[in-house]
Parts: sequence; C-alpha cells; structure tokens
Amino acid sequence: MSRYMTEPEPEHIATLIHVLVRWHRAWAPIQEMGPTVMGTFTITYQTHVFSILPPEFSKGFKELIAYTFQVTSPDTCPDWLTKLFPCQGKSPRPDLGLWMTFDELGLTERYESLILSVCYERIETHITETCSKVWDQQMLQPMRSWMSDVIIPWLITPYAREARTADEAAILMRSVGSRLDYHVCKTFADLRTNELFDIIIDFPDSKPALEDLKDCLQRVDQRSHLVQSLRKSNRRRLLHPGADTKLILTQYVSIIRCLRIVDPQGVLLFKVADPIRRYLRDRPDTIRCIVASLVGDGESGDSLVDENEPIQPLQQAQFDDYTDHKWEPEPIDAGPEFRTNKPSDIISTLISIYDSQELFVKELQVLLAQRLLAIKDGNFDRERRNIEILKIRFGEAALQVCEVMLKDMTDSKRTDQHIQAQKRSDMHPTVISRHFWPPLQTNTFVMPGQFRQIQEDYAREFSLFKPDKKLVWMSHLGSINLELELDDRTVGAEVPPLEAAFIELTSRVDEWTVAELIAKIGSIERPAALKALTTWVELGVLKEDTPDRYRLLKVAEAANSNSKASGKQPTAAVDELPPVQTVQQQQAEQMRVFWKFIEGMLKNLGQLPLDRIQQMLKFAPDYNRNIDQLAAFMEAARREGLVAVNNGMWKLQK
Amino acid sequence: MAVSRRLQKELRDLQTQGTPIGIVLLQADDFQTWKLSIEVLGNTLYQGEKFALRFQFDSSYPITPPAVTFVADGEYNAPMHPHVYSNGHICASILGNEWSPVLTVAAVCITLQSMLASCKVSCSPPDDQRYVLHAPADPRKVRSVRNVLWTLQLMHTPDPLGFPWSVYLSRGVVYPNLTLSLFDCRLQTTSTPAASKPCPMLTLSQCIIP
Amino acid sequence: MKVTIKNWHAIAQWRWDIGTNETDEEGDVCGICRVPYEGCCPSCKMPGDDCPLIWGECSHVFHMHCLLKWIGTAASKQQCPMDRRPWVTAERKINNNPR
Repeated sequence: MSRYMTEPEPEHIATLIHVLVRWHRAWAPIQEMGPTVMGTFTITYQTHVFSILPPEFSKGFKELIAYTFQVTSPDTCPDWLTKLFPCQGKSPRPDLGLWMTFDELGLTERYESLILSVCYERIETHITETCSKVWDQQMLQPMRSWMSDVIIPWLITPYAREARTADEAAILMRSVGSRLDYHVCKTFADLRTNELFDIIIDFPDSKPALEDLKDCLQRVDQRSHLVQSLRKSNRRRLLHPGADTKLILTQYVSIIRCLRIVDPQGVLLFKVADPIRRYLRDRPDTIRCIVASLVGDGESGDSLVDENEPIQPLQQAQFDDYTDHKWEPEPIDAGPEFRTNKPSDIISTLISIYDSQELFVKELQVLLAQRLLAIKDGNFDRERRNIEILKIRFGEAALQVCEVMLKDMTDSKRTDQHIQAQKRSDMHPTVISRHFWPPLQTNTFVMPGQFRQIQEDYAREFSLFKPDKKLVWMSHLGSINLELELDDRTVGAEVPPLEAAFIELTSRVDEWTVAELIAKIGSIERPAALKALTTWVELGVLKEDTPDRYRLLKVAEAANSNSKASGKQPTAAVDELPPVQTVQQQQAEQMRVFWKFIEGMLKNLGQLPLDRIQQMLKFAPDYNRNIDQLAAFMEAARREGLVAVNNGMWKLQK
Repeated sequence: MAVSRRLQKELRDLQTQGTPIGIVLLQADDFQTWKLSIEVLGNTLYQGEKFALRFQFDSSYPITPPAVTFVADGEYNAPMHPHVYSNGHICASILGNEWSPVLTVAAVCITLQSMLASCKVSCSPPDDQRYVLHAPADPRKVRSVRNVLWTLQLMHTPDPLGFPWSVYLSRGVVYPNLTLSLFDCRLQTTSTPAASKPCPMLTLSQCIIP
Repeated sequence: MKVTIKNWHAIAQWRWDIGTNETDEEGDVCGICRVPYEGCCPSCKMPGDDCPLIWGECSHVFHMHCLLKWIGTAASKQQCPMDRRPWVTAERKINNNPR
C-alpha cells in the first residue's frame, strides 16, 4: 500500500490484492470442514482486511478497475497482470483472473458502487468529449451504441461471466444496464441543458441536439433543472441592458421554437418564457421592434416571423374545450397559471406579451405614417400588402385607421392627376385626413416666395375640384427637389421644405442672420434652422462668415473643394423619417400634464410610494394610466433629476 | 356600435372636462346604463338633498332619447316635484317629443337641475298614486300617454270612453283597466286629425295592441 | 441666384370648407355623433367624400348620414336638432371663386 501511495500505479494495488488473495488461500481452512466454517473464515478475513485497508485503497482500487478498460485483449495486457492473476483456460479477456480474485476476496460486492462509478466516469468523459458543441447531428443514439459496444462488454466480466448464453448474460446485466443507460441519458441531458442557450442561438442548425434532449428528458426527469438553468443563462446573457431589444426578441422566438421541439406541451416554454416576457414588457422599444418585424422591416434584416408560417388571426386567451377528444391532461409540472399553448403562431405569442392590441396598432400607425410620408414615387404597394396581411392578424376593425391612411394615398394620387391636367404644377402633395394619422409634429411655418405661390395655386385648384374642401399645408413635411443656378455653377439638391425656404430667402437677399431667417419663416426652433443652414453650407452654397451670419456663395469658393460644388446628388438630409410623434412621445406628452399633480403631492407630503401616487392621481381629471405607466414616467422624471427614489419612496429632488 | 362610440366620447368628455357643477358620475361601466348623482345648488327647495339619475340607452341613441329616471331605491329617493313621480319617472319635454340628438347626458342633467331649481312647490304630481300603480318600466312609453292626454285636452277632443279628459286630469284619475298600449295606439290615431274633428271612438279591444 | 423647383412632394391636410377660418386644433364636431367633421359618422368607415357634411339654411352643419337618420324619424318633426327650426338643406356656394 505504501508503495502505491508514493507511486500511484495500478500495478501496486494489483500486487497488494495478489498478496491478499495469496494469504487468503493460504489461511483458508481445508474444503472438508464444510461451507459454514469456510464462510466464517471468509467473513472474519474480509472484516479484518477491510478494517486495515487505508482510505486510499478505494482510490487505488478504482484506478485499477479503470485500468482494466485498457486491457481488452492479450496484446494490450501488461505482463504483471497476467503474472499476478493468471487466467485458467482461454479467456477472451486477460483481466478475467483479476475479476475472479476480486470475487474471491469479496471486493466486487464491497466496492460495487466504485465499479459503477468507474463506468459513470467513463460515460461522462466520453459524452463530454464527443458530444460537446456537436449539435448538428443526433448524438444520443451513437452514445447508446457506444455504451453497448464498449461498456457493456467490459461489464460482462464482472457481472455476467458465469453466463453461458447471451440471454443469460442479458438477464444478469439487466439492472446494471438500465442504470447505465439512465446515466447516459442524464449525462447527456446535463450536457445539453448546460449548452442549451447556445444551442438555441444555433437553431435551426442545432435541431438534432434538441431532438436528443427531448428523448433524454423522457428517460430522466431533468425538466425543472432545465428550466432553472435556462432561466439563469437568459438572465445572465440575454436580459440585460446591453442586449438589443431586437436580439432579445430573436432569441425569444428561437426559444419558443426550440422548446416546442423539446416539450411540445409547452410547460417548459411557459416557465422559461415568463421572465423574458416580463422583461420585454418593460422595454420601451419592444412594441416598435415587433411591429417593425411584422411589416418586414427592410433594413433590420431577418424578420422574426418565419415566412412559411401561415398567417392567422391573433389568438385570444383560450378556454378549455370540454368537447375536445384529443384533450390530454396537463403535464405534472405545469403550474396553476399554466395555459396550454395550443401551437399558436409566433406573432400571437409575441403580441400576447401585452394585454392589449391597442398599443400595437398605434405603433403600427406611426410606422405606416412614417413610411407613407416618405414615399415619393407614389408606390406604396408594399405597405398595402403589409396592411392586408396584418388585417388577418388584428382584424379589419382594428386597422381601419390604416385603411384610411392608404386611401388618402390613393386619393391624393388621383386628385393630383386631375389637378395636373387642369393646371400643371411642380407640386405633388399627399393630402391626408386629420384624425386618422398619428399626430404629426407641428411646427408649421410659412413658405416664402414662389413656394407660397405654388401652394396657393394648388390649393385653389384643389378647392375647385372638391368645392367643399380646402387644404391646410403642413409646410414642414415632405421634400423638394431644387436646382440652384449660381453665377458659376448649378447645384441640384433634394431637401426638406425648411432648407428650401431658406434658400429662397437668400435668393433675394444674400446675407442673413439666423434670427432674421427665423423671423421671416416663423415658428421654427433654432436647432432646426441651424441644421437646415448646415445642409447648404455642406453643399457649398452658403457660408457662415461670422457666427450666426450666413452668406450666399454666388461663386464657389476654392477652399470648399470637399463639398462637391457641382454635385447633383441629393443630400442625405431628407432620408430621415418624417417627424411623426412616436407613441412613446405622445404618451409622455400626455403624462406631462400630471407632473404638476405629482409635484404638488410630493411637495406637500414629502415622500410617497408609487401606489399612493397612483391612487391620488386617480383623482386628477382624465387620469387613466396604470401603475406601470406611472412607474415608467417616474423613472423618466428621475433620470431628468426631478425626483429621487429610495426604498420605493419617491420624493422631489431638491 | 354606433351608440357606444357616441357614448364613449361623452364619457371621455365627462372624464376629461369634468361633469357640470353638482353632477357626479356614479356609474358608467357599460354603454347601457349610467348613473349620475345630482344636487341642486343655491337656495332652492332641494338644498342639501342629493338625487341620482339613471340613464338607459338603446342602440339608436342619440337619435332616440335615453330613458331617464330618478333612482328611487331606498338609498336615493325621487325629488318631490310636480313633474317627478314618486317612482322616479320624469315628465320633461326634452326627454320626449322635444328630444334632440345634439343633447347629451350632461345637457339633460343640467336641464333637470334647472327644472328642480326653478320649482316653487314641493309636491308630487296630482295623479302620482294611480300613475305609479300602472306605470311601465320604461318611462318613455308613458310620455306618449301624457302627451296624448295633453294633446287631446288641447284639441278638446271628447274622451273615447265618454268622459271629458279634464275630469281625470284634474282629479288624477286614470282608467285602471286601460293599458298604456292603448295610449300608444291613440297617439297614432289622434295626432293627425284636425282639432275640430272628434276623435274616433275606440273600444278596448281595438285599442290593445298585443 | 435662381431657384428652380423641379419637384415638390408636399403634405397637406384637407378640411371641410365650413366657412369659418378656424385654426383650432381639434376642429368642430358633428352635434349628433360628436365626431369631428373631418372624421366619419358612426356608420361610415372612410372620411371625406364618402361621409360628407350637410349644411342647413340655419347655418348648422352635420354629417349628412347623421342628420338624415334623425330627419328620418317621426320624432324629429323635420327640425334641425340644434335650433328646432324646420330643416332646409342649404345650396352650397359652389364655385364662389371661379377661375
């Protein structure tokens, strides 16, 4: 033993065992004294031996067993083994003698768990080595085959060497075989569970891995472990401020798809999805992301929705159908709040993150407005198609507003054709129905000079064509394609109306201050004015001589070579989306009204918890926000430094 | 659908712009029945009293008027007023033939408020007991009865059963076995003839509409 | 410098020309359905030409469908809901500024 401890080689343990068995045989009473005496001796001997074996023995013994895996044929068998434990007769396995010795000494019985743990470890090592990160093929079956090809034959020696036929061997092996199979599944399930987050990222390439996991879970109960583990990885890797909402949604959709494979009944999904859904609900841009993917947002690449998935009406909360013949009881680990998700489509699932569809429709309206107003070539087929598809989901009634918006587009085109036929104009307006478009940011200004003339002419023609109606210009919206003829060059540009207004003014007077320009146009913000002027500066048309003072460059300045003076390219200035107020902005705007109430409340009462504020606000006229919305608002107010929160108590920031 | 849209707007207006002074929205959970409390402010007979109005809307509101009654359920009582029966039914022209679709819940409340405010005598209508005994649930049906009564009286038409209208108007008598459908039917027949023509005699069996 | 407009994509809102030069944001509503004039009456889905207004001689304006529904009832006595004067539809001043 001490030799083993200084030099941990299985050979030394084997030698020790060899010594033990020699003593055992030497001291054994003669056969004639009968089995009782024999048994007594064996017990006494074993008790004695086991009591003096040091704890390190089991480790060594284990290593010795593990070592026998290598000695599958006489060629691989070291000399010392056959020398110490010679096998009688011809054995396919050179370690047979060793095992028989174990039996003789009662070691097999005493250290059975050790023997199995050797197998377990081998299984674990093998599975980890061969299956880790291999998700594109099913690995469970190969692992099981490996077990029957490698582990089971090895086990025959310790467990079933007396068997004369294969059937007998099978019977002897049954219990240990099933334990090992369980262990294969468990090891496999553990591995895949730990890898699950990445497997989901890899979906659909990782589908085989998920199928494996499904099979494993039927064999071993690792479901709650899976839920815990995946929830943990989601929390750590997904649900944090650094992750893009779009990414979270994509991963959520993949989780849905993946867990449906693993657990078609949806209990796992229900449990895993809950925190994600909650988290998404608190993100301000979730709805926008979902809506953008609903309408197939061009730039954001892959859509969340599978193109092949049939478009269905949104599914409302389902009630149990008592006449359903295919009904199956809910799985045992389904919680009380679990609702069977009859395979509903992904979009329904996403939209059900929220309690009402209303917000989606609003966001959709904003998105649609932005797109429609940006259309210059009058082609909005894509938008029409999108709305048609969405109508199937949300129902006609919900999208009535969008219908009106589309009709405005068609009507504008038709009206324009008529008006152009009467009196040609360079203007092609989109005439919208108010109350049906999302609030458009208003900073209507007066277009100067020829622009105003064109507006008036067009409006007059419009009123002739539609005698009951008149036009109200939203001068700040739209875009104008201009050509400027300067002394030495011609500059073409497509610009927003404000830019056009400014350049029209400079065509009359060369030099302006920003204040003068603003006074002339009216009701615009200084930053907007500066931005418009910058456009022209970049095009080399205007120059800021002294701060705040702009001059028309009738002759191009050489220094301005980097601005493509004769460039006919339209600037990027109009590529921005039209200034439609987002739903969020609208809500914040409305919420501002209540700030006075909150401020007064906190001033008078010091500090208050959120629910008290909510309660008291209910007395304010027209207050219809829920506590979540209030919380979001308070949070925004905190960021602006208006309030502070401590232990859930809100107070005014001094 | 159409009803609820108009009512939705009214409800939102009440919530955003507030109810008129002395009027409080008690219940508006759906677009069938609303309840509002009404107080008459200032120095009136009803100082310090609080009443409740029940509005019932049907699908053609606001083309047809809502059924408006004072709540008389023990918790609230109907005001003592010559145009308000003790079961809460109100006799007000704007709720009957003077209804206009531009009227709103708030406008009706204000009108009733001023009806109460201008009252000089606190008493029930003369035919209160009789009326309450036979009144139908929907007060709008009754108004036509009273309208007929008034119309007939103004026309000096003889009473179909031989009594002058003035008799039971002054004494608050109504034929107990005469159903209201009779009066509804009479409205049809009497509203057209010229004032000089006597009203055709109708028998009970002719009058009762199943 | 000469500024030449080659193409102008403009945005405008249409309004009913009800004779007033209102600038108020919300706009007037139909007294019957309480929906803005530029909205549509409860039985319509599309605003504008599909759900026109009707002008009375009394200068009151309603969604045509709303008013017709009211006038169609016996209770209306063919009166304007606003002033209870007999309803007379006004001839619209068409082409008040001919070309």
